[in-house]
Formats: sequence, structure tokens, C-alpha cells
Amino acid sequence: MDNVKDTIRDYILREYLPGESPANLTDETPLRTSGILDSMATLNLVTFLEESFGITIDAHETGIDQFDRIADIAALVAQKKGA
Amino acid sequence: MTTVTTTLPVATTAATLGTPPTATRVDPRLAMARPDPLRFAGLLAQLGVLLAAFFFFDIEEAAFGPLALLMAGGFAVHYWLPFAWKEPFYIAFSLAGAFVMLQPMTAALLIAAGLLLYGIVASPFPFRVRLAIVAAVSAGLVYARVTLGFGVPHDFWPVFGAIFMFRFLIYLYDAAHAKAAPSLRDFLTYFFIVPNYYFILFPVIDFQTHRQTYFRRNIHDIAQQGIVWIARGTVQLLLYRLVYHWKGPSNAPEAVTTFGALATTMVLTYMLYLRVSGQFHMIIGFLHLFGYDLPETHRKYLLSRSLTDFWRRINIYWKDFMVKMVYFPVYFRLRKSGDVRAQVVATIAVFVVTWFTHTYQWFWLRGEFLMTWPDTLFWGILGALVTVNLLLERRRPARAAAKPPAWKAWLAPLKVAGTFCLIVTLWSLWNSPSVGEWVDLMTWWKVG
Repeated sequence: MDNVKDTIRDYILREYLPGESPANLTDETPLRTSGILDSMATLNLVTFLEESFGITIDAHETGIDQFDRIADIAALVAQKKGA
Repeated sequence: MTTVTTTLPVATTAATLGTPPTATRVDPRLAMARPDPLRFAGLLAQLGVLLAAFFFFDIEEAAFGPLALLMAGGFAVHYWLPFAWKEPFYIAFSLAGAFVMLQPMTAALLIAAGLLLYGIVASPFPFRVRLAIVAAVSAGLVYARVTLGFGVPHDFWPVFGAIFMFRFLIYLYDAAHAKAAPSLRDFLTYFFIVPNYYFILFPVIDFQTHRQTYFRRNIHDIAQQGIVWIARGTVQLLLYRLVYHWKGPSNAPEAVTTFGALATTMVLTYMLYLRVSGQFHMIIGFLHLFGYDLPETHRKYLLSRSLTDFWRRINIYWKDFMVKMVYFPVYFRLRKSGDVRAQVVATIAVFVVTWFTHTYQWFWLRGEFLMTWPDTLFWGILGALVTVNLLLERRRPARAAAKPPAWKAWLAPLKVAGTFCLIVTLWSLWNSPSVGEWVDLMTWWKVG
């Protein structure tokens, strides 16, 4: 689970927050409701997760409940990998 | 690739953020709601200044005064309640608020209609059956709206439409995919929002965002943000009055006989939108007072650098609504057939649906359908230009550059000015009664 979180964190820092300290992007930092990820960035993250973890994500799984924080996204990935 | 912020929001560490409660840990939102008499006094003093401004400048129509007093009074009580009592109080306050702001019959019907809709969605039938029942009830409501029948008071319909016409679609979408049916408490807090009894044009708040952002930060930070937005809304509403006064109510082409008059009319027509953005800032600001840490509704839309940027900055809640309900479902369905194709079709679908839903909105609020060529052309042209812009954006490097080259800084004002001119032109078309009148307006040299 921690590996998944780190992978997601590294991707977001690299693609959308260059120069930002990793310590500032916690598992609980809001990503979509704070504007860090917009719709296009969300789609790119979905593609990244699908390619990195061999899972398929549906449109309704990109809502705020499951896709606003690294902790929630990692839980979704873990659930998909376990399914 | 789109521009993203490089500054993380304040107070978003794990220690300060709330997560839904579990049986094994204390709800972190309890700490977010801890009162502080000094900070409360500061918040209340600021609200007092804003209230004085509302009454001194008659900032809105007469019913806004009681609404503003109600919200400030509600905040003063809600703030001091134990966390567990806050939401029950908010629900009671919202339902009672309906009877303060509306005629008793209208308020009672509104609550009854809401409970009926909740009962259908929460019923144990398969989702398709629930959807069919909702469709049948909606057909009855449409019939009643058209005929103004069944003895329903006329003032019921705009408020009913303002509350349910869009948010109920989001609610249904989320209910369709939820593991468990949303509770009655979630339903009541989401739909029965006191400012909605007054503001008929209302931000399309997302159900999940509404729930997830509740006390996610310290209440003093949330409320302070809300007060800033209420103040911003107040300034925009004051500016709107100046614009309205300066422009006058008409866009009559015969009054525009010089290029200067044309430019002024077009810019002022666009500036009338300050009323909508001002109201939206105020509405979300009021909700912040009760712990709903909702995002901004408009972000410096006059400084948009492209049409896509404009679409992302103006009425952000609408954009998010379209992304959730149209763009993502269409994109995810088509993406296996090619990313570009999926994005283009999804973007076009968003603008077609936006065009249609403006007519749908007009129907619930005004009781008639809005089908005009200026409206159709406006959304058609805007959709086409945003699609082209999206394709151009895709050709740029994906990664956000840490430091853009210096010459790009010189381009920014030109981009803002160009986008502003384009939007002002499109806006003048949208606000013209007919394409012919818009052409008359634009060919100002032929008059006089």
C-alpha cells in the first residue's frame, strides 16, 4: 500500500508540482478539490495508474470520494488489484 | 497540459485534515470544530461590517436582508454547538428557514417533494425501477410546470427547479454507483440550503464534494475563507449595479452609432455577469460559515488566457458538473478507440449538453423553453473553439515547466486581451434577441 502511495505521490510531484517538497504532498492533501489536479490531469493520472498497476478504472470511480487524496486513490488501486 | 498550482493549499497536512469517522479512531473533525471565543468575535465583527454594507447599499432585493440576518444568526448558534449537534441543527435551521423565506404552502410542498424524491431513491427496488419511478414523477412535475396545474402555487416552481433540477441529477448519479444508499441527513443537508430559497441561480454543488469537505479544515479558516468570498461577492454586486446603471437595460442597435459606443455596450453587457459571480461567491461564502469547505466558484475569469482557460475559470462548478456527468463517462466509453477521438467527442458532448441544459434550466425557472439562434450559436462556437484549443494544448509538452522562458511573460497580456475581446464578442451575440439584431449592433456604421 505504501509503495502505491509513493508511486502516486512521485507521479504527481513530477508532473504537476515540480519543485514542490514531497513533505507537503501528504496522503491526505486534497488533489481535485484544491485544484492540483484538473480534469485533464485526472485523466492522465488514470492512464498512469492503469499502465503502472495493470488495472482498469471506470468513470464513476474518479469522483471526489475515491479520487481526491492519495490515500483514497491508493485504496482504490489496492481494491482493484485484489479483485 | 493544463496549468497547475505549484503552491499547496494551507492546512492540508494529515494532521489537519478530516476523514470520515471509523469505529477505531476519533473523528478528526471534532478538533476542527473546537470553538475559540476570540476568533469567533473576529469572525462575527467582520460579518457585522458586511451586514451593515448589505443594508446600507441595499445590495440585493428586499428578501436578501432577512436571509443575511438568518445566515449570520445561524452561524452564531451553530458555531457553539457540540460537533454531533451541528448537522441536526443545520437541517432544522434549513427546513425552518424555508418557512421564513417562502410562503408556508410553498415551503411545505418543497419539503414534501424533497422527501418524496428521497423516498424513491432510498427505496429497496432495483436502481432501474427507482429510475423509472423518478422519470414518471418528473413527467408529472413537467406537466404541472407547463400547465401550472394541481393547485401548486406559482412561486413553488422556480425554487423547486433551483434546488432539484441539477443537483438531483448528481445525486442520482452518485446513488447509482454508491455501495450504500445516502442517508436522509446527507440528502437534507445537500438539497435544503437556506440561500437557495432566495438565489434561484445557484452553483451546481457536487454531492461528494459537499460531503467530503465538511469540517475538513479548522472552522476558523473555513469561515474566514467564506467571509472573504462574501466580501468579494459584495464588491462584485456593487460593481454590477454601477455597470447596470451605466449601460441601461437595453442593447438597442439604434443607440450604438460609434465604435466607442459599440465597444462600451459589448463590454458592459459582459460585465453584467458580475451579478452571477457575485451571488455565487456569496452563496458559497455563507455555506463556509457552517463548515462546508467548498471550492471557489469563479477564479479571475476576466484574466483568462484562452477559451479553454475561460471555461475552467468561469462557473467552475458547472464545468465540474459537466466533467463528472458528461465528459468522463463519454471519454471512458470511447478511449479504447483513440485518445484524441475520445477527448474531442467528449468535449463536443459537453457543449451540446450545456446548450440543452440552459434551455432545461430556463424551463424550470421561467416556465418556457429557450430555443434561440443566438443561444445555439453561442454554445456551438464556444464548443468548437474550446475543442480546437484543447487539441492545440495537447501538442504542448506534458510536463509543467519549472520556469517558462522570459519571452512568454510578454505574451500573457496579449493573450488575456485577445481572449477578453473574443468572449465579449461572443457574449454580445448570446445576449442579443436575434442574430439579425446582433448583426445590426455590430454594423454600427450603418446606423445614424
